[in-house]
Amino acid sequence: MKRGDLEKMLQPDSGGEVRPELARAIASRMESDLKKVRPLASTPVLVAIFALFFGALAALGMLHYGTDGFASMGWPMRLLAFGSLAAAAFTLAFALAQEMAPGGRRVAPAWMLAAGILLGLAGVFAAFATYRPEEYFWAGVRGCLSTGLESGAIAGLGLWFLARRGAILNPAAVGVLTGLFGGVLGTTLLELQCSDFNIGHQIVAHWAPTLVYAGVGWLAAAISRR
Amino acid sequence: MPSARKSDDLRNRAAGSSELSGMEAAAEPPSDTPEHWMRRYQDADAEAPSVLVAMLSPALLRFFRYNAASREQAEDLLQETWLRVHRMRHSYRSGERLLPWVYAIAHHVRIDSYRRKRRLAEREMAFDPLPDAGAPDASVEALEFQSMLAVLPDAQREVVTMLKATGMTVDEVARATCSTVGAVKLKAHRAYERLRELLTEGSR
Repeated sequence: MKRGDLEKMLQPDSGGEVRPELARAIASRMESDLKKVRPLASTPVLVAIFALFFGALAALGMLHYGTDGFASMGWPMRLLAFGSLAAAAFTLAFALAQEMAPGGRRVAPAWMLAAGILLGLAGVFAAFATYRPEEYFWAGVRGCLSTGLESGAIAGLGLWFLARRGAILNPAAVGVLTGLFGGVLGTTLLELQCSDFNIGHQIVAHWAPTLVYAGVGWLAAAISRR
Repeated sequence: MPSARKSDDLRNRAAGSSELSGMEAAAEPPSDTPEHWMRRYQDADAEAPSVLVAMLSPALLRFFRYNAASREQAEDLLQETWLRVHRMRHSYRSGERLLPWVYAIAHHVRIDSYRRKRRLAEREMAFDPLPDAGAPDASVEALEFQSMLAVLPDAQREVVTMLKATGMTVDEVARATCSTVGAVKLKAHRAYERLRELLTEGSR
């Protein structure tokens, strides 16, 4: 075989003849179940919907749980904590909107995005946390963890309802991103509500819901695919 | 119009449409593009499925054949791809290019088939392979070419066939394979290097 043959073989018009009966069978199967479908919304619209959803749940959470944590923070700390949480939520919303349509431009593979966001948030919490021994560590953790898991579950389920039409080609990625998004909302509410900035509490009670729901999202998607 | 001529015509239209820019596609797509027919398909136009199948199937079949499948396997994968296209047709956003969307689905079909085969292979006993009965129409060059491509790693072979056999751009291939433009360029470069080496060895 010569080099010219290689180029010839790879030309769009060479080979690949489809048997007419096969083409007819495929087309008739598609025609037999032909219904009008509503296409997915564009990425900006989906991102706006996810952002509104996040904002609405965060506002409801603030009304329900209070804002003691926010009141105890200085402005640099508020900017650092809520700026990074907002950036994480926006990145996740954008990645999710892109992941929902096959062939879309991806921000990064879902697992890489999840790892980056989890490590980034852990770094941010470590940067503004205080380091001292706590007397009632587990009592404080229990309360915050249940708040974070509860609000994360509500956010994750709600978001799954919004994103489910796009969880078709790569449900595991959509599951991880949805779970992570719910977890980030849970963590945001805890940062707003809780004024315990000790490192142990921040990591075990505030950061953990994000990690837990990333895993739950992936697992749920993997199970639903079987 | 005879069916062969009609099919050639549609294929040419599909190849030509890949040269359209994203902006052109974002406006009203011309009536001879796959994007236009995909919109009609979403609107339940009865003519759209057969036109889309005629436009896109030859390149899809070639893509599956070059990725180490016999003709029968390639036809199975082609049918599976169209089944998924039908199920997922709502996820195509009008204004976007169609080829990356279709090939992203084809890419997943191929991966799923590979996983299925691997699972089966783990449970089955190995016998001497039977001759491939599904390739009586293939020329000697085609078979030689397929055996050359078979030397390439899966990911490189997939990129080369998408770039060359379907006429997609590097960016579109990156979208279809859930990868980056840089990674696609690197894979293509390595694949061409390897193919050149094989050709040089073969011509000695």
